[in-house]
Amino acid sequence: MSTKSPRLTLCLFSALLLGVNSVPAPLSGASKTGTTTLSITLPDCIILHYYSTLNLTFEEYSQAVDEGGSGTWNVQWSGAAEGGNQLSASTIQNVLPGTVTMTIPNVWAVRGLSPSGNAKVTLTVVNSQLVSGSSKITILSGSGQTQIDDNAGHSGTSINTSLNGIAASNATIGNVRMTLDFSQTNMAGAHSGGQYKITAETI
Amino acid sequence: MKYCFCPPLPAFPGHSQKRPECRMKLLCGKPFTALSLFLFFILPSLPACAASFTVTSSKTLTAAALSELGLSSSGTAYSEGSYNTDVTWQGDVDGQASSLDQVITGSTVVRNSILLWYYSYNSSYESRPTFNASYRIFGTGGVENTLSSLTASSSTIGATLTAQPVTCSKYSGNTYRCYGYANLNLNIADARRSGTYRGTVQISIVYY
Repeated sequence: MSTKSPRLTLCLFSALLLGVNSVPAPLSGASKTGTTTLSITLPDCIILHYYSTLNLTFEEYSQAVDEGGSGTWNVQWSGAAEGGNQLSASTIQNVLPGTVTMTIPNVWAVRGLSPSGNAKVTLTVVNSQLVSGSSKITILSGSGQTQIDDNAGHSGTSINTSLNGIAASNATIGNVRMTLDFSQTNMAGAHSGGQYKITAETI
Repeated sequence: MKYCFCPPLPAFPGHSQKRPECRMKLLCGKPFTALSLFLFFILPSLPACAASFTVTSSKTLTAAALSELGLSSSGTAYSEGSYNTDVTWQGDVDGQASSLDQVITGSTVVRNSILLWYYSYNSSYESRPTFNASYRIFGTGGVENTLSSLTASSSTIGATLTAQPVTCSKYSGNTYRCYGYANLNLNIADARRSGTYRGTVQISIVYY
């Protein structure tokens, strides 16, 4: 046995050498599967669409107002008249309102991406006076007077509304409700200078 | 995540047939000693795993930049010009639909050459295999071809993975590596939220 052992040793190492140095063949068809988790971060972004100029044209108005009843006057031959009904500021009918509240539709829009998917949109009146000489129209400020709404049930001077992503087709489009006071208006024609500001921010 | 397999150990061609005593006498005397030496000293010195698959367990891609969306800053105010309308003294406004300009010029984000896996092999043991790799990507809830927001799974990004040809190159010594890359095309038009989006790529590789 001892005489065969060296041969066996030789046999083992020869085999090892043969195995290591043999030309390898590609593995026959096999398959592997695995999974990888991919992640990517999208940035905050918000786009506010607005109109830089609003031109509101009020309809021309003229009306004859019958204050009713009949006027009975005592007239002297000297031409003096007394008695009867007289018109006064407190008695004439108020056919034109002193203030007009209107909703201007679809004058702003927001879209974009935010952590919550929403944006905070705020309206502030920067300059409340529209003027033409001594004639003034005043934009009344505050909730209920001048505010925004998003056509989705949110209204006020500051609202949280959906951004709905970056596609223009999904943008949130909103209105501006504005109240104008004509109590200091005494001229027809263009009045200008009023300004409101809309601010939108991601939340 | 690392998948590993070992090729068959070297065979001893011819010897068992020509010299059956080599096998019969293995467990006694000096042959046993030699075998023991082989098993305890030589065999462990051989590569424990001559070829292996390594699959990237997770990959965080470069964050999407505003410039990729055609924006220069995170906040953009865009004037639509003038709005002209008639108003009655009752406050009625002749409305007009707002037609928004498409400020954002792109909604596609592309990430190319994403390394998903590689295969290492010893050229002394095997020749370069041929690979057929296919990939599928799923968002939360198993919705294919999407990535889902981590904060709101309903906010998704459309995702398309395209496999690239497997490339192999020498890594070190006799070790070669074959790399599996893919290109990722993301459509963020339906995304509602900023932040991190995630998806799982299922990798299937057939090699021969």
